[in-house]
Amino acid sequence: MIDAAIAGLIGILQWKALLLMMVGIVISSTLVAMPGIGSKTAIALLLPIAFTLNQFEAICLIMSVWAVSNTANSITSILFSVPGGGGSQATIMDGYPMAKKGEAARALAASFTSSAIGGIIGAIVLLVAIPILRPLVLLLGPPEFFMLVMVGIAMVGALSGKAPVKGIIAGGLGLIISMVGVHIITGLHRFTFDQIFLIDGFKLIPVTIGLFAIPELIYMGVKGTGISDLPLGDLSKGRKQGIQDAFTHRWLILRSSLIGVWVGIIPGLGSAVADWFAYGSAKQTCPGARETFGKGDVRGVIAVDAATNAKEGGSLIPTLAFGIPGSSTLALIFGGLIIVGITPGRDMLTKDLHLTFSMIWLLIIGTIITSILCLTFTRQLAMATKLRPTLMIPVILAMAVIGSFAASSRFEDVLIMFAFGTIGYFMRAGGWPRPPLLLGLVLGPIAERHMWTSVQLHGVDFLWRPGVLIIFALLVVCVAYPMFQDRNSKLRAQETES
Amino acid sequence: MSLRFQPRSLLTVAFILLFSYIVVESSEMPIQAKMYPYTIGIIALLLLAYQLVREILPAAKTETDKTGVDIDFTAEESSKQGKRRALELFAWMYGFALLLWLIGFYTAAPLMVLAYMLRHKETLVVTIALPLGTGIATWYIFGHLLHLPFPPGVLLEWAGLV
Amino acid sequence: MKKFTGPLALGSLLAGVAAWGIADTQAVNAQGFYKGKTIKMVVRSAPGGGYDFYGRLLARHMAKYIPGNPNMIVINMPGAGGIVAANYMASRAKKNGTEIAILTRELALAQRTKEIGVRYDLEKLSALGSAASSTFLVVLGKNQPIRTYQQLKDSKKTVLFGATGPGSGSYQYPSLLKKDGFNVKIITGIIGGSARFLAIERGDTHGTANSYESTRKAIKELGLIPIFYNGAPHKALPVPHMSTLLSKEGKQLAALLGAPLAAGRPFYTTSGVPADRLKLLRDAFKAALHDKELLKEAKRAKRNVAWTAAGVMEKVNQEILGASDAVISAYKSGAKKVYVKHTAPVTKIKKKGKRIYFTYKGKEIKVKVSGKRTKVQVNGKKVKRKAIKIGMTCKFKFAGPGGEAKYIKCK
Repeated sequence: MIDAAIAGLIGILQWKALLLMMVGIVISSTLVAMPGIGSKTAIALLLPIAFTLNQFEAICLIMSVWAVSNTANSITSILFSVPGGGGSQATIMDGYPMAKKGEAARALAASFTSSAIGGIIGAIVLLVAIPILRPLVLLLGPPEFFMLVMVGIAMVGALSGKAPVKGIIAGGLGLIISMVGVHIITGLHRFTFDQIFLIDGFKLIPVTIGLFAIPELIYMGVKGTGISDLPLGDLSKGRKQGIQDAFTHRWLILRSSLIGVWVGIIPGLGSAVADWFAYGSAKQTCPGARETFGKGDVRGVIAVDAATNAKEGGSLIPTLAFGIPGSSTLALIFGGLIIVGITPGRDMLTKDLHLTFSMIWLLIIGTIITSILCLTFTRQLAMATKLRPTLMIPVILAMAVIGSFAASSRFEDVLIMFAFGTIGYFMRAGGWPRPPLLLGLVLGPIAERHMWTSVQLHGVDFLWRPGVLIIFALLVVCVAYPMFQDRNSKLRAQETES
Repeated sequence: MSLRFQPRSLLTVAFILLFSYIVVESSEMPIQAKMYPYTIGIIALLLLAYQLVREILPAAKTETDKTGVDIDFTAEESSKQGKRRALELFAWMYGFALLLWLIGFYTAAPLMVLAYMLRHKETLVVTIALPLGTGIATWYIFGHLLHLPFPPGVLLEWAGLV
Repeated sequence: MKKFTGPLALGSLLAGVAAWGIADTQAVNAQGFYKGKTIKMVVRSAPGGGYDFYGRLLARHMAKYIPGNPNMIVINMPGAGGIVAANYMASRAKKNGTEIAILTRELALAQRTKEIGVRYDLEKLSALGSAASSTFLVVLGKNQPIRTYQQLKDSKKTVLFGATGPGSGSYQYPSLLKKDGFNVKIITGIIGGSARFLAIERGDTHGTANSYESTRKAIKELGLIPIFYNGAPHKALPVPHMSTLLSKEGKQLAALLGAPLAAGRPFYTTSGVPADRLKLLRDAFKAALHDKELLKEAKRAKRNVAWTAAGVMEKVNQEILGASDAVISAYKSGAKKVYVKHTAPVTKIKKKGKRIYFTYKGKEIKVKVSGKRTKVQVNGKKVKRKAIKIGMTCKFKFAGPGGEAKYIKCK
């Protein structure tokens, strides 16, 4: 195994491979930083080149795109409250308030650094798990998936803050919206009014851009000042502070990364869930988080970005164990790697182990290089928050339209984005929390589908399976722990008073 | 007892109407398609009824608009001037949507930026540079490189220009 | 598509556009038409995946066989299982031969079954040819005793098939088996071939149906056992074709399912393209599929390439569009179960209670009564089907004339 590791490392350190890695990183960072353009588009663009490369070079080019996409897509989330891609929505919750407080450099730096560390942890877990990959993936089935998603839905409570009733209703709204379209179990069209664009349902990106970016745009216009009306301070210092923050909260990074890896292992959950899970869990467990999260707490940014990068390492696990791609992006990547003769599956753990190691090395090295690249430009990026709103508003508006359209090339998505922009504005005005709506939208179809599949397989008794019960216990702990904490601190406060 | 009617209750009522529709519509579906929307709808309606009552009754605690977790509405935004500016921005948004539909993205985007510059009386340099930059950047990156198939615009199609 | 750069001089904008328009009308014959032009290749799904691969493959190699060597770009237009792209080609695409598309192979089927959202008419699209033929495979896991078709048919234990959902290929094939009397149960909600293979490996299900290309790896890795196939034969598959093994109705349905597979990766252009330009495109298409470079790339990517002529494609489509109502309703009944409730007196009983006759909408129809699946009640009490007598007034819930009754409640 050691010689495979070394062979893998040497393979990607050839100068041509390294060059291609840099090319992939730069292209990916710039493209992915734009809202709506995901890593899939970038990979599709680069695939034709793969025909002329050898195996290490192809890995370097194609997988570098994948390894870095989660780092770069936080940029627009933090600066403009426009989500750059599936895994960066929760970054908005604390990243954007930090930008508004003049701490954009700190937020960006913390985001990039924790992305790097999270990615490395994900790669290490992958490495360690190689011997036990197969039994690990087989352990979880639809019943366990369902209960895991329930844990996520329970986080709706955590994300509702002081307005639990409104939060749950918002979550319910998200769940309902997710049901528009073809019901996968019965083939029935639900709530589609026979309109084609509703047959495919509401897509996450236009809804998120509308719900979060548009109301912020309006806020900027009302305020009349740039994103941040506080002085930016010393940007270099802010950046250094952000990097330090990541290392100060290393246990948080570790916890969030492990959550991310788990989400990655479970095929079908996707990056849109990893960030919310990590965010909700950080909120429940970090001291004082329930008061400060949502107002610009750097821990909110750190937890989310570590998780989304760690998830990538996790999603390689089912891919390597069974040749079953852990996400649709990985399916695209391996479609490209097949061209150079790399087929995922048992060979990757035996004959081609050195290639597997080069992928792991690439994850590590690529993430570090991307973070360094992004950190270099942090100060320049942060300055965008001081620009006049009259300059920012039209540009962000155009970006929002492109982002909503690019996801699936439908003009209706642009209209949906504007509609949710309106809804988001009124939700803010009325004190209705928006994150639970997103969570419902993301988790709804997954929860429903796994539930019915489990019922078909095991009847209602699926609820009594040991895996399900263990996860349910976890859910109870998640929900009860903060209430327990609350009660304890109240008791302690009473004691000190008396 | 005089009931307290706040504008925000309109949103609550809108949600009630929405969920009522969901419940009615899903009641005719076979069980597998029905269960989730029906159950969620009923629970939501119960909670919404509770919420509406809380908002209307004067005796209840003043409804807080601080969510504690989301980015809150500021005092500035709820002022008259704030609402007026918000209305204007909505007009920009929906006007842009209309323009997109009429003349397609590559023309509408720079035009919108230009119009915004003119409205807010920006300097000449910016008024020329930003729309031009937006137009060139979007055309090059999204049109030429990525071939995003933006619909060309109803008016232009009708005029036979595309 | 005309591109516009700066917005400021609206006048120069219009002038530029006018110049373009003039230039367009100057292209007279097919040979000179494509010089300096860009051909759009519309792909019916998102990047990645089979259709996208073939679309991009052709886009890379077809242009050099078109005089004038035009630029070819790829545009992804996913949505509604390919219906969005088809609607676009039928309506909004330019009808001068500069827009071609790879559309879904189920195009004719969707039109014939009047799928929601279909706004195209295949008769109006011009076929260019198909780049590959597809094979659909039914496979079972290795950890169970069934190895052949006959064993599957004779199985006493219910065989579980994992499927995405009604309407998908993975659902239709086990559904076809079920209709033909096999002891098969379909588990829906398992999306993606990969997830279905995992389910087999985990032991949740016993088998699945999938395209051969996506299953080949899993056969090697997980030891899956192919049972039979539909569509184009493959030399690596020593299993029988589906139609040799089914009843008459089953054969018809299998033929319907299999017809689209013959033109597995179909390419079309719009209506209204002048005949010489259309021939040019078709010839370029054929030449590209015999191009050495293209074949090399496809081999590397382990994708098969087989040219099918436009004429053959059109014939296949005609057959599907002309399918009888009976076959279509059998096909559709696999997708949505819509039950009819009707109360009427029993007029005839045959086959020891397995067939019950009554009058429905003015005609005497029969429903099948299953010992296991049909709930039979007399005066509220559960009884066996032989308890039903002629003259009893019963409430029936059934899928349609000749179909199986879900329940029969008699007084």
